[in-house]
Amino acid sequence: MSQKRNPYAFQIFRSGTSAESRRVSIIAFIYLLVCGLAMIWPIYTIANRVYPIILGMPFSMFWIAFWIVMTFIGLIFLYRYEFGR
Amino acid sequence: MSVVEQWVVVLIIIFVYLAITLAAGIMASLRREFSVEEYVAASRSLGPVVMYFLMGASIFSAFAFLGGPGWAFGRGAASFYILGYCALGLLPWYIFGPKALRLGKSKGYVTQAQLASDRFKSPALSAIMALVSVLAFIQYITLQMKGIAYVFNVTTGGVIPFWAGALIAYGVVFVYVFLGGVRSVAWTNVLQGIMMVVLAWSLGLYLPYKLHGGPAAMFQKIAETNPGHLIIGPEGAMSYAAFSSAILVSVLGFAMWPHLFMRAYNAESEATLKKSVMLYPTFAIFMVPVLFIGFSAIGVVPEGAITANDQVLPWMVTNMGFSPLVVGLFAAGTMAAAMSSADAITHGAASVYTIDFHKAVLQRNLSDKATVWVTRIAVVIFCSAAYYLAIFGGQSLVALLLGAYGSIVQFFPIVVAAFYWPRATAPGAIAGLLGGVFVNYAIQLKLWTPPIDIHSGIWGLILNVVLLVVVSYLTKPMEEEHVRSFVEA
Repeated sequence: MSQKRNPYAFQIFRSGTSAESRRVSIIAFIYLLVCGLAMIWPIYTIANRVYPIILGMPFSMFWIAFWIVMTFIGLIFLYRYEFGR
Repeated sequence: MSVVEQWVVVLIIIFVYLAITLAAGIMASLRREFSVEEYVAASRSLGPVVMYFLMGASIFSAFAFLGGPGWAFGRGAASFYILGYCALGLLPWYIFGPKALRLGKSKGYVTQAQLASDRFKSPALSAIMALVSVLAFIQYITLQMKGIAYVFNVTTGGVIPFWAGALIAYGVVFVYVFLGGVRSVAWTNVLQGIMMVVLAWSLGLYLPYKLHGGPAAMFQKIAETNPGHLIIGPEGAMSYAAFSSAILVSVLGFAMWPHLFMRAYNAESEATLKKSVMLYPTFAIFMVPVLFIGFSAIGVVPEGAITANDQVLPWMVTNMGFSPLVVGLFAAGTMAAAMSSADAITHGAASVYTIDFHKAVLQRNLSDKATVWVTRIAVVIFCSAAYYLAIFGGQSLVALLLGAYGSIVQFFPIVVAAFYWPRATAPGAIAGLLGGVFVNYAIQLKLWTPPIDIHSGIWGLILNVVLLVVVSYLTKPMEEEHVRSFVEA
């Protein structure tokens, strides 16, 4: 298959990237994409209100802060997976 | 306490801060004379803590204590975009960074445009990117100088005039960039970073409690008087389209800033690079109390007391009976925030001009010694230009700079194409970049009003990507082995 491949085609992974590494990259990408999409339209519309006020923040602000923490947690796992121990 | 004593104390604190910073810079320059190796090797031995604050310095610019609270005060929920921007801005770097690092190592790049112009074999591309970057950088430096000068002026009760404040800032940043070694810049950034975080949290929690009885009560009050201030959307502070596209542009554009891109060439390893990306969202958490400051000013700062939203925190600090010690620490903290960004940007601007424009286009066979001098002269010229703009304005130039500032995100398709799309050609990349920059300027100069309220960078990117793809397919593909070496890096 790799022999027939168009050398000029759009290519995300380097040749020889293991299947597992590809899988982890794709999962991490989707997870972080979700974190980002949660902060913008249209998903953000469900969180875009003042009440309830949580941790002193209106819900519209708490929601963003929550996804920031989720982004951070996701990155910690990703980093530990790659360079852990 | 009398007014005279107030400004004296403030001034002493500011000068102590400046003296410590200068001393660190000068000590590093003395060290350099003993051993170049030590000076350079210091950067390879930077631990995660120092790296962390080095990265943070780019977010905590003058914007953090002036623009951030100003947005929350004047534009309410629109300021939440800043949190999203800080949290997500560096994420693409987790993917691109290591690639840029590997290519930098194997092909010897030190700047962003070097990578692009080598991939596309086009000095013209390098020149265009350098031009856009330098104009954007000058705007960036101008903003920092203005911030410092303003804070200097207000906190000393007008004793230090605007021009002198900017000049002192100019002088210190100048010495910093000239003499300050990597180690001293890094360590002053740690001190500056700790100062900024402590300031952000103490003011960010103190002010809501003192003025409103806590953040929850504060937001309750705002919600009752002006509910639209705390939400996005048609009845809110900013349209969904503008809010979402602003976050999107920062995610795509943030890592395209040449001085951040160049970090990939400074990092010792992929692990270090990825670790700094991993830790970056914590800076977004530090911005939360900064926004609290702005919200706490609502209903407190009287109508007409300030002429621009950016002045909200300086006004509060100087008019609410704080001890001069707090005022002084605030002034020093804001200056730390501005200066720790200004040094990296000034250095970035000078390097980009010298390597990507001067050496790429004007004088290809410049000796090492001459190169250093060109860089130094560039530092002087860019600092002077920024100083002139900060003091005298220069409205016609401002539009030019703002357009460049908004155009940085247009580097994104070029970087993606270089890393992942072998078929992209030089004419495609240049056409795309020029198209994107053109759209951005058209919107900036109000020559064209977009039908929907989406960030100008996105409109530019649409034309940019279309031109990149279409023109690339219309032109001859580049040499296979060459372009594949970038995809496989």
